[in-house]
Amino acid sequence: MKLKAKLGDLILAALSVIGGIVILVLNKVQGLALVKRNQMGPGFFPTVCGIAIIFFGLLLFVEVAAQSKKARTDEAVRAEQEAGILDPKELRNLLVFLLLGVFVLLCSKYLGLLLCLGLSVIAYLIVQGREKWWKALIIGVCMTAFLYLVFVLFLHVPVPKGPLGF
Amino acid sequence: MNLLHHLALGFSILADPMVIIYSLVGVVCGVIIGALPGLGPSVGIAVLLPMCYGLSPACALCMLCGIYYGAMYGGSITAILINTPGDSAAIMTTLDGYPLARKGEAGKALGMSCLASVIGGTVSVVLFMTLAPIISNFATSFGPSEYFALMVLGLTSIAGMTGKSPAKGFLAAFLGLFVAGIGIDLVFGTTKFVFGNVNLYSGIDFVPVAMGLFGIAEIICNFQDNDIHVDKGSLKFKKLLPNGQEWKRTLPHIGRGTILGFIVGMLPGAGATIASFLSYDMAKRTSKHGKEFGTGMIEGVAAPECANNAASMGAMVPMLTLGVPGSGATAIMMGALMMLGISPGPSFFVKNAEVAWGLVASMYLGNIILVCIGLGALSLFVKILNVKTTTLNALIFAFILMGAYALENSMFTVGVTLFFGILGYFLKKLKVPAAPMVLALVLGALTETNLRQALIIADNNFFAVITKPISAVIIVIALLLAFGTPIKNLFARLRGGKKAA
Repeated sequence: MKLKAKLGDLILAALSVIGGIVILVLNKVQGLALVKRNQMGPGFFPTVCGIAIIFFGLLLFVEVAAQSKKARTDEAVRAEQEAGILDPKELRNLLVFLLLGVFVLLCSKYLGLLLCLGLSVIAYLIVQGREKWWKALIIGVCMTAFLYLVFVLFLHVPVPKGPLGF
Repeated sequence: MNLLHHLALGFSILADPMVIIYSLVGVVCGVIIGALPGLGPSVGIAVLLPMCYGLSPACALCMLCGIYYGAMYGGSITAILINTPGDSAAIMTTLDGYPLARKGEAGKALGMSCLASVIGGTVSVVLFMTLAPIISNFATSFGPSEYFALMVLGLTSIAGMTGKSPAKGFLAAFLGLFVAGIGIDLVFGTTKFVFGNVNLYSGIDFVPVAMGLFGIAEIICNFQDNDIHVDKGSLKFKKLLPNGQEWKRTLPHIGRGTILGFIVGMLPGAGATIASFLSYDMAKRTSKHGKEFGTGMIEGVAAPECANNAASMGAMVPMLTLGVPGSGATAIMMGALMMLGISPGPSFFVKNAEVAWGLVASMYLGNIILVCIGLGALSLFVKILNVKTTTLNALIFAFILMGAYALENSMFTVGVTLFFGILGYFLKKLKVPAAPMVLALVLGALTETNLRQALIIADNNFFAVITKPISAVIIVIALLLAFGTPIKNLFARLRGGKKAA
C-alpha cells in the first residue's frame, strides 16, 4: 500500500475540517453555551478549538496547493510529495501491537494483567522478533517478574489478578 | 550568601539516599533510552512517568531530571558508533563523531561527548540557579492576564516552530487543547464531550496521552536492529580521556557552546536541536581548523554535546519560573510536577523552596553520576544497545501498558494510551508534531482558568486582558514567534515580485 505524502496531507486536511465541524455540532447538541451568566461559558473553549481546527485544516489545503505548484519546477519538492509515507513493515508492527493491546484490554480481567502482559511479550517476540519459543518464554517470565517487583511489591499497585494469583 | 544558603538547603535533601538512588536510576535509564535511535528524552520521561507515583516530589524530580540529561548524552552514543543519532539533538554529533569512530577513535569521541555534556550541564546549572530566582521574583507581580499571555506564548511558540508546516503544528496544539477540555467544567459543573462515560468525567490525563504519542508511536516505527561493533580496546578508561592538547582545543568551544546552548534552551520552542546546530556552526566558524570539520574533529563532538545539555537545563528556566515549558520534554516534566501537586511558576521557588533547591542540587549530583557511568559503564551500554530492537520494543510495550494501568488503577487509561499510540503513529507519518499536542494538554486547563479569571477581573473585556502592558508585550512576542516566518516569507515574495517587475 503506497500512500503518498501529498495525499496523506490532503486526507489530514479534510479530516481536520470534518473534525472541527463535528466538534462545533457536538458542542451545540450538548447545549454548551459560549457565554453563561455573563461569563465565559463551558462551550467557549471547544468552539475556539473547533473553529481553529477547521481554519488550520483549510490552511493545510492551501499549503498542499502551494507545494504542488512549487513541485512543478522543483524536483526535491516533487520527490517529497510523491514519497510513500506508510511502510508495510511498520503497519504489520502496528497491527501486532494493536492486537496485543486489545488482548490485554479484554483478557486482563479474567487472566490477570501481569499474565496478559507476559503473554503479549512472548507473542510479540515470537511473531515479530522471530525468537525461539523458549527464549521468548524466558524473556516473558523475567519481564513479568520485573513488573511484579516494581509495580506490585514496590509501588503497591492493585493489579487485576488471574487464576495464577497474580 | 542567600544563594549559598539555598544551595545548602538543596544539598541537605540529597542526604536522603533514596534521592541519590532515584537520580542514578534516572540517569542510567535516560542514557539507555536516549541511545536507542528514535527514542529521545520525551519518550524516556513519558515511559518512566508512572514510576513517579508514590514517590516524594524530590525523588520523582531527581529521577526525571536524571532521565532528561541522561538521554541528552545517550543520544550521542549511537550517533558516534553507528552514525545514527539517538535523537535529533545528537544529529550534529554524527558529523565528526562517526568519522572519529571510523578512524578507531570511538572511545575518544565518546569520552569527549560525555565530558562536554557534563561541563555544559554543570555550568548551565550555575546559570540556572543565578537566573531562575531573578525571573521568579520579576514574575511574582503577574496576574491572570499575564499568565494567560504566557500560556499563549508557550503554545504558539512551540506550535509555530516545529516542523516545516506551521498549520500541522497548530492543528496538533488545538487538538490537544480540545482534549484538555473534555470532562466536567470546573465553574458550571457541565459535562463536556463525555457522552455518559464515567471515566471521562475527570478528563483525559496528559500522562497516558504522552505515553501513547511518544512511547507506543515510537516503538511501532522502531524495529531496525543496531549493529554495533566496537574495538573493546578503544573503550578502555584511559582511551576515553582527552589529552592536554585536545582540552586546549576544545575548551573555548565548550565555553561558548554552553552559554549559547543555555540561552537558546530558554527560548520557548527553540530547544536542544537548534542549540547543538548553532553551537557546531559557531565552532566551525571560530576554529582554526574550521575547514577540517566533518572529517573527525574532536571540537565537532564537544561543541554540539555541551550545547544540547546546556539547552536542556536552559529549558527548565521558563518551565520552573514562569510555568511555560519550551519543549516536549519539559512539557511532560511540567505535567509530572502538577501530578505531584507542585505548580511550576513564579511561586515555585518560594512555596516549594526545598523541592526547587533540591532539584538544583540534584542537577549537580546528576552530572557527577553522568560522568561516572558515562565513562565507567560505557561498554555495558554498548552491550545493551546490541540487544535486538524487537526485544526492547516488547519490554517497553509491556512497561508502558503496566504504567498506564498504574496511573489510575484502571484499564481505561490503558485503552487511552493505546488509542493515542496509534493516533500518534499516523500523526508521525503525516509529520504532525506530537509535542504541541502534549504541551496544549498540559497548559489547556491553566489557559482556560487564567483567561476566565482575567475576563472576570477585566469585566469580560478581552481587549483589556491582552492590552495590559506586560500581556501585550508577551502576546506580540507570541505572534512574532508563531507567524514571523510566514510574514517574512510573504515580504520576501513581495520584494521578489517587485524586482521581477
